[in-house]
Amino acid sequence: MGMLLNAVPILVWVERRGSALIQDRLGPNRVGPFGLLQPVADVVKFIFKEDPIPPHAHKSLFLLAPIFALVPAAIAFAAIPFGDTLELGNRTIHLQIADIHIGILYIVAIGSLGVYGILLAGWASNNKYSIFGALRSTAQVISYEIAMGTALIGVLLVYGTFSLKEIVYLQEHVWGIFLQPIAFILFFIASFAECNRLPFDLPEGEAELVGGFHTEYGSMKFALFFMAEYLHMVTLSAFMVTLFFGGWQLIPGMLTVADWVGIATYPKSMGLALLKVLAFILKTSFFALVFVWVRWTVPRIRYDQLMSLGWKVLIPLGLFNILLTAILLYIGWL
Amino acid sequence: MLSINHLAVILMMVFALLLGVILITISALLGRVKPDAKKLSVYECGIPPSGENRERYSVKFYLIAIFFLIFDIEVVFLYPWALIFKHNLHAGPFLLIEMFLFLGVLIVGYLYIWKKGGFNWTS
Repeated sequence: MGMLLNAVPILVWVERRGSALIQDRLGPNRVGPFGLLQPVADVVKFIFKEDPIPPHAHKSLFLLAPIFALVPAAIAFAAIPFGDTLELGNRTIHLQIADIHIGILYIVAIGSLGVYGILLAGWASNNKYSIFGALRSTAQVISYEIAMGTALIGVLLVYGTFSLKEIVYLQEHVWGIFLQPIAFILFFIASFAECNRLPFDLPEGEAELVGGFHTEYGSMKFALFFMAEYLHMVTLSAFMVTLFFGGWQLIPGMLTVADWVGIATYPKSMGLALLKVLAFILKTSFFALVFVWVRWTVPRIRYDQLMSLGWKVLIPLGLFNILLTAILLYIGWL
Repeated sequence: MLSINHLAVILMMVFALLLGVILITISALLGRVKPDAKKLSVYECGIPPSGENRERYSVKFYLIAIFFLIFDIEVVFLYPWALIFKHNLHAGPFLLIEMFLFLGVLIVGYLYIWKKGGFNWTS
């Protein structure tokens, strides 16, 4: 029951993190200090905007699609541990919303459910741009999912467990990226494609497809797609951190700084637990920032290039990584 | 048997569902409603829409979907092996050879698709 009660503020926290990321631009600086209240103004505007349902669309599916996109994006985070145990009174709380022993499978499964929202939106809109955007998106996501799957097998070989909690414990001394550098590169590239971000944002390439699958969407329904995309980004960043960068394990040097400031010493266990959560947040924010950074740096690639990168480069590389890792493990070098 | 972890996931799911439904309802109730013929027509960059809305699309998308099925099932088969591999290193090379045979068959199929031009988007 204690776990369950703890889940509620964590949920709010997840929502906040998702929306906070949307502020990451210089643009709005009028509402509140540094434009910090801009999202609030945006939400008000979203709510009061006219929201026509096009008569040519399939009405119920058109309404359902944004919710279908949002739900998987929101719940995938549940399996990621964002901190060590926290001692409160005589209770020990694992800082993880749901300690699922097949965490990796859970996130991969839930993450790919997001395609249904996009496909439904594209089909229900009954618009050329929408349906092309949806088809492109589906083909892209399923292609890169295989690359991601092969990368995860390499990771799995090294750790020998599906549980994300145990994976973080196993990275106490060596972070995963040093054991699985190829898998990290594969995962990194595939995760950009999975959440339709530039350089792989062909499903919504503005210059070609207007808005892609959400061309006919407006108002709050569009906002839900937007939220889903950002939540997906945060979840993938957190997943990446958990698998390759030690999850909540402290960043080297953090303890020294904390000792110097004197946080870690105050209530010993409490301070350390909070420090670990901070390490997780810092790492995840870094990768979420990389997503935004890459978006404004790298141009969009062509669709045939996207497909040949996925099928002719990433998948063979993933298979090679599996073979290499298995052999290295067998000889005992890993 | 529902554990506290399943409940947490279900709770989150319900929360996200409610969030979506409530937000859409609020915006539907409070939003200005003033539709007209132009606004409700199919969006096509401002020009009158032409032809079918659901056009024919390339057969490549079907091909990609079929390849995905094959390779995804292969990945699913690899998961249990990857899970137990590390814990059974002492049991000799059987696990290693077994999976190399499996991957070998898969790679032959993969090369066949490649040679047939299945991965070429423009052909």
